[in-house]
Amino acid sequence: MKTPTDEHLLQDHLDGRSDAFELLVRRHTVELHRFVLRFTNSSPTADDVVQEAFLQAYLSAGKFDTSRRFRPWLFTIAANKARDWLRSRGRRMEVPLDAKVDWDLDGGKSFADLMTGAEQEVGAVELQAGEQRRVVRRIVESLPDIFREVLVLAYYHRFAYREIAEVVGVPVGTVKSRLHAAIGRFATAYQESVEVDETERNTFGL
Amino acid sequence: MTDDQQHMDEWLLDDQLDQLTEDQRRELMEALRKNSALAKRSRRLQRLLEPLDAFTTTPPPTYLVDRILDRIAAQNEDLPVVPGSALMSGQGGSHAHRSVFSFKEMLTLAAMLTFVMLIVVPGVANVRAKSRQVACANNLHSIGRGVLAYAADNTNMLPVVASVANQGGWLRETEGVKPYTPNSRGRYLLLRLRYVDDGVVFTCPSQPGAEALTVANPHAFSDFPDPANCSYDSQNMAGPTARLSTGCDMPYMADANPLFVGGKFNAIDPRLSNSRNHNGGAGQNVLYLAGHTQWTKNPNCGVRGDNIWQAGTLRHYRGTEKQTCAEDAFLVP
Repeated sequence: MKTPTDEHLLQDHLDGRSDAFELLVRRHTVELHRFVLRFTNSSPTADDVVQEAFLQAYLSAGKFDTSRRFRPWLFTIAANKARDWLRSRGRRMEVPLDAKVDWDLDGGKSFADLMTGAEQEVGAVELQAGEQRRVVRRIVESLPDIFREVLVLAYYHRFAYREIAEVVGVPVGTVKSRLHAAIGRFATAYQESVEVDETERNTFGL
Repeated sequence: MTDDQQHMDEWLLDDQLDQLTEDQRRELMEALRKNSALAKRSRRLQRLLEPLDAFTTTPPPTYLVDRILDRIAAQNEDLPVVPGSALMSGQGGSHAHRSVFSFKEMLTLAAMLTFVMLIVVPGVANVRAKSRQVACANNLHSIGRGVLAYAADNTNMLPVVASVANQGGWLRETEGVKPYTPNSRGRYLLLRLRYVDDGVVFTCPSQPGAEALTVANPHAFSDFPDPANCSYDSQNMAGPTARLSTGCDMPYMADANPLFVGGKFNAIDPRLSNSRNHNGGAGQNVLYLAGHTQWTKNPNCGVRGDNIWQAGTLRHYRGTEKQTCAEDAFLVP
């Protein structure tokens, strides 16, 4: 039997099928939680935001245009709530939401520079698994919210650029430039961390 | 860089992120076969992105779906009808023309108020206590996830600071025992290394005086700056079981041990005493190393009925005592 699409399930829900929305909740909870957790870096917040997002989707389902895709819509709701939380925590939005990103001013190497260096420079020194997890998490967490959001959506959730544009509320071109800037910053910071780790290993004779 | 090269570099990234159409992908593969410099840049980009895979996340709590569905179900229920304030004040609405209540109305009102005082108010208080108890269990569950993640990254070691595992005493206000090496440093590692994201989960909402630690940079400290920042006690790291045991389901952390209050030993009978966190001794939430939490009204909830407050069956403490064996849970501040 063919699995119903999200949009069919939402239409079923609007038509009065009692378990249709529950199926949507069960289908998307884990992925949505992963997204919010990586975006906010807070488990309790991810738990709360995911609940609030589904509740709002449930209450607003009647306004949803079922010719559009459900998943980006759900993520848009969750992303808005996650941004509200980040703002309430006083986290600095380093660039206005609708700003274009100048790669040369983003604090890391430009995307093009990263692509043209020597191949063996990148990740030549491997970190241990636990250390690598901590380092990567710290770097991603330290990215400005607007960069981290597109990186998480594009890399971990494989959203299409136009869907990311819908979730974030900016043009596709801005999504791409933010993504390039995010990768540039990440790669630069990761390389620096690896080099520091290598220096420490040498210093302590490890 | 030429426009073509820039265009191809963008396609390389698009390919890594599954953004290309089938036709575009075929065109890119063809270009990679013909152009070794482009192939080199492709491999480089792949290595740039690979570390991102290390950023794994813990799964959501198992109760999350049920909680979402419960909240949705609650939306569908009608709100309870509350007696109108106009009646209470004797003014407004359809009652505006009446100046006094009849005796019958007064009796009815008195009966309703008595019902509210006797049944509803204690019921609401119980619901609130229960709600705080569940929130406390959720806290321990979040901490448990952090402990398991820490252990996975550290060859099954539980969060421990070397000085805690060596010498000194873990009770703050004991004369003649030095240095003071608080056991809470092990718990703080979870926050410091971001295995637990938020200081608020270390405070039990039922504990009077608990105060969540809200600092931007937990790295600035090596321990909770104030004892009020942590409502929970954990396995004594000076003892022999600083590893994630796979053999038995040990209690690892729980609401504060009633034997140690304000940094001092409190000489009470540990066999009968619950943590003071919940209504002065209603019970305690306990986190086990298998990752689950349990509400218990009895402290003898360790392996084979072990008392989680005591080292073995010891009754008096100076802050230097340790577990008597690997299965002895001994939760200290």
